[in-house]
Amino acid sequence: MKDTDIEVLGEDPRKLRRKKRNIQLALGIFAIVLIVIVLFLILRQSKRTSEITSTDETYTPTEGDVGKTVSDSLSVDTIPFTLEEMEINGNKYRCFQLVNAELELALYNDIDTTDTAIVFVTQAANIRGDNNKIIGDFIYKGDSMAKGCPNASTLGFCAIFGGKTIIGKANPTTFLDSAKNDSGFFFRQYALVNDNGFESFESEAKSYRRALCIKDGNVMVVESIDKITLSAFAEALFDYDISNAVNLMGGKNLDEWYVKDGKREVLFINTREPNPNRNYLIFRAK
Amino acid sequence: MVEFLTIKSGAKLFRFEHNDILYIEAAKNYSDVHIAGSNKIDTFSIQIGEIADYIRSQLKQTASSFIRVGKSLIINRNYVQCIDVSNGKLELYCGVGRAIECDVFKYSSNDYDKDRKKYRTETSPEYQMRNTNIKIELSASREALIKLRDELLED
Repeated sequence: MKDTDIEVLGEDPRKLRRKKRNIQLALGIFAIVLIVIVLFLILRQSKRTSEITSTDETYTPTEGDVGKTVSDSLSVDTIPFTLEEMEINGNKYRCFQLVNAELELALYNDIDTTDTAIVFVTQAANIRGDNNKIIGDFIYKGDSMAKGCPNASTLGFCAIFGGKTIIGKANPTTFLDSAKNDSGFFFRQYALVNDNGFESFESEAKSYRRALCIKDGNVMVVESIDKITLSAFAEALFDYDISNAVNLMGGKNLDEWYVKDGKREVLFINTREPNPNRNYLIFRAK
Repeated sequence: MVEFLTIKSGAKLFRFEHNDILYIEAAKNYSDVHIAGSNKIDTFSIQIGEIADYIRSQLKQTASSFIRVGKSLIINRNYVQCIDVSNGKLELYCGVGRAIECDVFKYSSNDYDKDRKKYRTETSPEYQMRNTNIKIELSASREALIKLRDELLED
């Protein structure tokens, strides 16, 4: 002890109280931070789990499905399709563009998951919820599976025959007969883009959207990564210089996958009861 | 809250109510305990450091009322009235007090009666001041007074 020092004998109770208060405050802050971190981790985990659930829940890869190599005849220069992601009007999209592949339709019982030439699959025409039948005219390898153009939602169409893909909006259309006569394919859906511009829809419902499109003579499937309205989707396609587009089945409760580097990448799984009328748009590598 | 400081000296035991202690001053190997409101001083043949230890160990709630200022002074902060840093002075004021004759007893561990005759000189300035008024002026280093001032400002 020096003459220049002072010492409070015994700890000052005020300081004790202050110290206790500070400790309590620090513990409180620590607890809050801990809770926030735990909540963040739980939310992240549940989001990851739900994503995994949505893709793995009902799809059980069988031997030969996943990891099958695409046909050896394909080289880098003959890739069946390209995949790119882009942003249009502030929303994100992915685009599967047909390169060295053919467009076809396939039915649920006909799709061969071991066929390595099938490199992209998504669902095409809508199915009625009450009777599980395909909505609108449907031609499958020249055979008529469904008839009619019940309403405006089915004025759009896609006809695939003789190596050609025609997208339009009309009823009747001669392309239906062409598909039938040429053992081709035909289905109906909402028209989104045609020579008159893009369609507008009343519904403000947002969902994951998909469309079969033609741009500069190239066939592509464009789908939204974000949920958007059908009107916004149609407009985006138009802004992307798509000349013709017809809707494909939307949402995420559908089968969709593609093959990349010889491995199947599953985007979505259809968890509904299997239905023989479930129909697919596929890219078949040449 | 009232607590008692107990000091044993020889065969005697002294108990001081904590707030009766005005200040404690070291005097070589002795310590003078000055009682508030009177001129009574109890002197003990123990060093001031030991008294500081007694205060720390015995006064659980009120020990912090006492502040050791430098090597030779322990004051009761409740009686501090003025800190004059520039002049190196510390004034203690103990409110209503009685000016009574100073009766200084010096206790040693061995011979109480012999030491009793040894009184602090009545001419010492500190004694006179204590005898005539209830304000006590103490000296301390400027550095210590600055620290004391800062400590008391936190009150």
